[in-house]
Amino acid sequence: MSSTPSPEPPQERKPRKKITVRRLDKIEPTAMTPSHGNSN
Amino acid sequence: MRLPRVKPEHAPYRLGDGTIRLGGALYPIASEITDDDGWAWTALTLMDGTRTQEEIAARLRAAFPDLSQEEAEDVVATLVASGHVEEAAPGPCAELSEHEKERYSRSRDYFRWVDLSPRDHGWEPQVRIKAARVLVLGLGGTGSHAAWALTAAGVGRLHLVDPDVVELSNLNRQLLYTEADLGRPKADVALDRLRRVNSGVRITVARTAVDGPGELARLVRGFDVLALCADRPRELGGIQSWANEVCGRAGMPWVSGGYNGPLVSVGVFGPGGPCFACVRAGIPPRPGADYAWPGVTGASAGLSGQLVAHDVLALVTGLLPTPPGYFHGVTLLDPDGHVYARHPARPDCAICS
Repeated sequence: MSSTPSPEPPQERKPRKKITVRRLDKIEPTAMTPSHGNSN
Repeated sequence: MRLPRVKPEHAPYRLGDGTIRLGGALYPIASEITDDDGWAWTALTLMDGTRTQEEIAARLRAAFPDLSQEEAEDVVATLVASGHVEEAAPGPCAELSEHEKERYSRSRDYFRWVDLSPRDHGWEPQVRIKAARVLVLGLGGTGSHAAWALTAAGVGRLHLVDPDVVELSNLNRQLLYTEADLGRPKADVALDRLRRVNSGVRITVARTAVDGPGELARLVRGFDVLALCADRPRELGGIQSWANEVCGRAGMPWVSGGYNGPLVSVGVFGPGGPCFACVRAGIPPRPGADYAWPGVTGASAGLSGQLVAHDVLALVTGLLPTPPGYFHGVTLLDPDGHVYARHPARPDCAICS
């Protein structure tokens, strides 16, 4: 009688090595409203 | 990218905690990479324009044997896509002569710095500027500076419109005119001066006042962008409203600039964003603050005109930092002050909704 070989234990997948590029955060300036009546 | 090279303006440096900074500290260009293992620093060091991406990945694997081939290639590809790297062996650019390339070399360096898109040869923004057709309405404090900057930048086609003559009180701020020009039409003087600034730009002028949206619609035909530097009629429903209606219906981007003494503000409008009327509707009225008093110096006029030109160039190069539909600017009285307003399109707006 043949026996079915037991399956190999699943290999633990290593996390993929990668780099991440992060843009710098914005520093909020104070904000004023624009003029309504410009000159040129 | 065949031979990647880190842009000189974006040269990397280490912050001391395993972090790499690229692009200095300039928002929204600069970025950081956590690099505890040294992969990114090594790859960046190898990106000096002498190696292909495959060669860099192979050298990276040799230095870090625990990196797989796929991982090493991914590190290189991530850096190439970051915007901090350029092609060191650029393809040809047939649209510009060698003379033009020398003339606009500093502009190319600027666009290389601020443009994070991958480019074949780096001249793409200048080629777009050369192909652009810009209408400038008004050649006063704002328009004289804007017209000069657009001419110097190499815009292919400029049409300048102003009905006035040069007056003595113009000379404290209007860049194109001298004492010898008093009494001459501004359009004619501007044409003489600007042709000497850049003979490669096709410039035409008209000494006419725009008297309504019909006349404005006729003028904008055949142009890509309107630079509105005129202030008459000033009141709501005046020339800015005409521009909003005409450009909005034509799907044409437009920029409007000016000053109120020390306060400089410029509006950028076009497809994909709220129109002038919608943004204006969201700005609270400031009674007594918006009368057009005549006081101005060269700084306000120059800043408004140069910002108009900058925004026109940003529109034609595709390098506007955010979608159109906002005002921005500065005030000379508050170094920490910053003008900015953006409001959503009104649901019932016939122009932009």
